[in-house]
Amino acid sequence: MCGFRNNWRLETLSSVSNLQFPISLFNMTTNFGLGGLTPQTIYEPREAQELAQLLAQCNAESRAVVPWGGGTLQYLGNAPARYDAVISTRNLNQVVEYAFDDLTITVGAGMTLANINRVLGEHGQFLPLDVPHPSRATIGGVLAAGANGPLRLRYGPARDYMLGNKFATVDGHIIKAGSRVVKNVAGYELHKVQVGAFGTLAILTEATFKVFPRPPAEISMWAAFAELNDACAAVGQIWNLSTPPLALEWLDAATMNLIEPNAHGAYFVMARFGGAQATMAAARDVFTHAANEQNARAVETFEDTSKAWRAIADLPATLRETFSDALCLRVSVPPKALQNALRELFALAQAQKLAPPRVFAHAALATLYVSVDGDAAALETFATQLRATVHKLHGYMLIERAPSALKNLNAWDDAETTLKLMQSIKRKFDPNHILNPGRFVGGI
Amino acid sequence: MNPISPAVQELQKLLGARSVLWQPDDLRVYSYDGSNNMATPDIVVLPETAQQVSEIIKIARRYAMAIVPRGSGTGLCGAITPIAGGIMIAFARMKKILEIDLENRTALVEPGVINLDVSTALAPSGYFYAPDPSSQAACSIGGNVANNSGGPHCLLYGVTANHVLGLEVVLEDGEILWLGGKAPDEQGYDLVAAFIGSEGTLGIITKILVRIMPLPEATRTLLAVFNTIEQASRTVSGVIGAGVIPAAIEMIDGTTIRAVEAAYNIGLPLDADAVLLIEVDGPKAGIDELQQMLADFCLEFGAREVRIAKNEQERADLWKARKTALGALGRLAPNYYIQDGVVPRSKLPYILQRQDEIAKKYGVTIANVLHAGDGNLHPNILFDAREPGALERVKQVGGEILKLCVEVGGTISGEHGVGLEKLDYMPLLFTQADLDEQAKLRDAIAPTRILNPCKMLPQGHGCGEVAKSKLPQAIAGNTDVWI
Repeated sequence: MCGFRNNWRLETLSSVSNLQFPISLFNMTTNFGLGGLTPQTIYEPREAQELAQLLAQCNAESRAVVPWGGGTLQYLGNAPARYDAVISTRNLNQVVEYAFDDLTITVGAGMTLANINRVLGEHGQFLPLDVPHPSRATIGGVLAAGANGPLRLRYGPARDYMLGNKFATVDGHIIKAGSRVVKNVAGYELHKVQVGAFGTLAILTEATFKVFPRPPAEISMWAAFAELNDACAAVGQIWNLSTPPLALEWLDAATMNLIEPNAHGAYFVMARFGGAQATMAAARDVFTHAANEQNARAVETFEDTSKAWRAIADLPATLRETFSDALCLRVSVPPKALQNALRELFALAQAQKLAPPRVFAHAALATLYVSVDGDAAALETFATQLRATVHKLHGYMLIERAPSALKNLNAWDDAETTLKLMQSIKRKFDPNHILNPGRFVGGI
Repeated sequence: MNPISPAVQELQKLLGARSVLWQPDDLRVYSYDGSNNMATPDIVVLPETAQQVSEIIKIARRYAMAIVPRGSGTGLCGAITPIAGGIMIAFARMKKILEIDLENRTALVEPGVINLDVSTALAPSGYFYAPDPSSQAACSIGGNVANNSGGPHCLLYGVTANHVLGLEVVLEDGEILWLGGKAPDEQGYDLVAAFIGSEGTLGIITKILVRIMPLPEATRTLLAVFNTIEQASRTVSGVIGAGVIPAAIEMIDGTTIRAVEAAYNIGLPLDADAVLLIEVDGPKAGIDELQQMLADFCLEFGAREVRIAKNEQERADLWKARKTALGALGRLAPNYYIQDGVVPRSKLPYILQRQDEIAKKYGVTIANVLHAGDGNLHPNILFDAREPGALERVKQVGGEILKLCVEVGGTISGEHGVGLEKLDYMPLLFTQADLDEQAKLRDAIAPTRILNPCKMLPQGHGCGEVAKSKLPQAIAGNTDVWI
């Protein structure tokens, strides 16, 4: 017998949740407010079938539902248009099946990333989904938000290694899509459509992943640069090394300071390499060589790789929490446009007499996290102009969090050409518009 | 009134006479794919632009004719079998590589581009396109995307879906739409993911933006010979379970080995029960150690011999056994019926043994070629189509194998698709509610169901009036397919 069913249960603060008395101790200490609205009811179903029934009940009563995992990504998106109830997935926190010798795992949607990786770690395996707050972020929430971290460079987005999932629909069914094996082309890829859909189509209850063996050895390096173009050229060169990095980040001095307070330089590039122990010295050499070719002022090795990358994965949250009044943006552009996007955003901030934005990027994926504070009117102009610039670079901009004076800014770009299709999909899966209404693209 | 002749006239006006086929003799070659299914389209068109595809769809709608897209016709599930007749859009003239963008690591191609041609075009720059179906010298990228095709190196690099960044599609109302692009994370629903593997039922793909990758610095290939298929399949489970992910692990069984030897004489031992072909790639540093580790692993699990390719020529020789396997099966029987189930990799020893029992029960011979590292079975059930009832019998055998795959937690198709071939098996995997939910996606995007009707979802989900006039004409007789 190879796969096994793991009956080990996480400690929960309370199991008093039920339909009649749905508020648990956990819920009394959690702030479920969104955009100035608070829900009347917090449901904490004990298992998936009960969750589906609750969702169907809300649907029958046209009550607006916000699906809730760990709440770590609820700051994303627009304020809900209506908000009556929370349906929490926190009790769906079990390993359903871990077939370690197949390198696959099936988990409840409410299981946290930290707990999933603790289970996998016992067999030297891991799920390369390095998002902030892993001890609170649930896999369901991370999938729904389409969140990713630095390791996406090597392992791809979660969509690529998620093999299947189950979700509760507004008519009360638990639907299975995809499979539990590593290759499957039977049926429409409904499971992938749930990823990044912000819980506007259904509520994820379970997901299956292909997991990965941990690299036997790792090494992580950083290099400091005085000039922006040198740092960006280094990104291009390191991305193309014969020993490709698992992750490759670009940081400015302000964000680097949150990771490595003693680093001196204007711009930084850091890379994470993994593989056989024998290959790590070669990785260090090629990184050093590439950085020096681009006039690096310093090249260093991180003493504690996992600590450093935990801090880097947490950076979006650290920036948001450290500079709590700042406007937080996420910009993605084609990889080649990284340098252009950086130049443009610094110039636009300067033109609005804003302090220099704090920026870091998953460099080879050209996904930039920007934190900028200042006068509300100047911030609004900056955001509007940057959005237009990013579109010219064929990219996208998401306002992750706006200061309270700017709450009316649309978090999302205008979907334009694809909106009609998306609305049509939404109507089919959630005809009464009860799931996260108004929070997603185009008012969905 | 028969709508065909006015439709032909309109299409000729749009595309020119040489791009519209409608004479029975011209249509015949478009009746087949690589499976045992056959049906003839009423008209075949050969457009050159997305705009033309859009106009073709508008014409089809006016005459209530089905639209069926066709790449190279190498598919193995009847996905392009025009079971409801109608207009087949063949992409033979849309085969330009439009752009190679090394800095963004993308290539923009038309759907008719042959898979291998992309990697060939990229090779001088040191890049490649990873998905490599065994038919890659003939199959088209458009077909690969429509079926979410796999291939031996999917083990490390993932299937087609992991390598498509953007699509231009023509919807059933003729609208031309761009989905995705070179920047990651287009906002909104993941429509690119929805279209990949949708077998032409949601829209017609007219451009594809694929991800390209730098060629690995080094590749090492070895072939391990086993006395029993059980030893070979335990080795596969052992390698994966030990957390080593090679670029490919392929298995060929004794029946296939003997056919290959009879046809090509490449020096494989005739008394072996199975060989494993294992490839690793990556940076030069450490790769020889990895290769040695795998060789030791095979010996530890009972391999009687491990051959290591010392150069590119020897590598090609080792792969020859795998690449020529299906062609060689013609030595054993006039026809074969290929299946495509997947099982959890640890279940390989069990499933191969059970499959053997099924073969004995039905008195058929099965030749196995497996993407073993992924647990993807390709049993080729040998038969002679001239023998009355033979095709029905092998289909029964195939069905039993698929049921077994699902029973042990697997699936009914790893890379070939559902098409017509697997329609009846979808309920093994999905409940009625699951299938209804899938139909919602199709109905949200392509509600009229003129796009490749009767595919993907079983009866009751769209094989509507349009198909009733034509019945499937299943005949056996193909001899030249790849997996």
